[in-house]
Amino acid sequence: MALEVKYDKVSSVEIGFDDTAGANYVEITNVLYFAYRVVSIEGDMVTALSMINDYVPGGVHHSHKYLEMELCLDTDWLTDSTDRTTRWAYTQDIDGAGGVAIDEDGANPDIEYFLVNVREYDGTATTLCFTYDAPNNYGATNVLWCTGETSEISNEDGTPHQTVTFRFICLQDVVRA
Amino acid sequence: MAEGPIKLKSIASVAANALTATNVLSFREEFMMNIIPQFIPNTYQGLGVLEKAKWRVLTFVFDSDTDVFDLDYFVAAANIPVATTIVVTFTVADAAGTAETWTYQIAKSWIQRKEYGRIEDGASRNTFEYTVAMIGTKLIA
Repeated sequence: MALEVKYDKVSSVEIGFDDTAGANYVEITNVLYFAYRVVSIEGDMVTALSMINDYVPGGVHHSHKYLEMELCLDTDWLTDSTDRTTRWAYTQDIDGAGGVAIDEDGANPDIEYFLVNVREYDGTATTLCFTYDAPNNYGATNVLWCTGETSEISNEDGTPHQTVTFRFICLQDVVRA
Repeated sequence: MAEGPIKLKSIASVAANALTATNVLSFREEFMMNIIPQFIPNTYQGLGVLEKAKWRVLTFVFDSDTDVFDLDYFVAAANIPVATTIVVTFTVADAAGTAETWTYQIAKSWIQRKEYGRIEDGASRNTFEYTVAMIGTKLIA
């Protein structure tokens, strides 16, 4: 019988790195939604989209597909809850060398640890691994980058959430664990 | 130190050119990475630039108009951005209603304005939207 998976909600998203000292990541729980889709590059868009923060990943050429991901938070997540300047994307180490997901002035380093914990309809926990590198669920390098951040704050009555949305691209397929 | 969420409730004000407006309906900040700089002139007509830098697009929607950007935006002449700093003040969703500020220190900027609707008795909103594309830094306090 084929595997059937019915997702219910996102429990958390873990982003960081892993080295010999163990995993180091933020576990973001105020997730409004996480979404991803496959993008297939065609024609003359190849040149434009094949460059990521000045880094040209190997294998990105005509018809190479990739994942475009969105992570929408109920405002934002802090690496130090007592210091509102510690937005995770600007302070969480994501490569073990002090790199952060969004470098304001330079190229964004690749993220080595990116797991999405999902609850299925029956309560079963599933983890979506976007930097899967056997035997671990993480660790693949030069496959996943943060590519944008959008904050939307509204004073209109009835606005349910003030959101911050992060975009990512991933050059390899997701693995369920 | 424990990690945790930060949750904003509303926008208190927008300040630029030594003026402060409180009739803000919404604010949007988009931080653009320099992945596809050649798309900039197409996506945001009128910029006419090819900047090899990370940049932000700030969109302010006001409930009718304000004068905070009057020194930056001109209909019949080139826009001359003089605001070197824009400060957006938010109210945090905590019991104390703590204020949080996002300060944009602008190195280069371009500004556009759109008006929606018309001034009419019975209309719910007459909104003015200012869009600022900027290169610079952002500070949170």
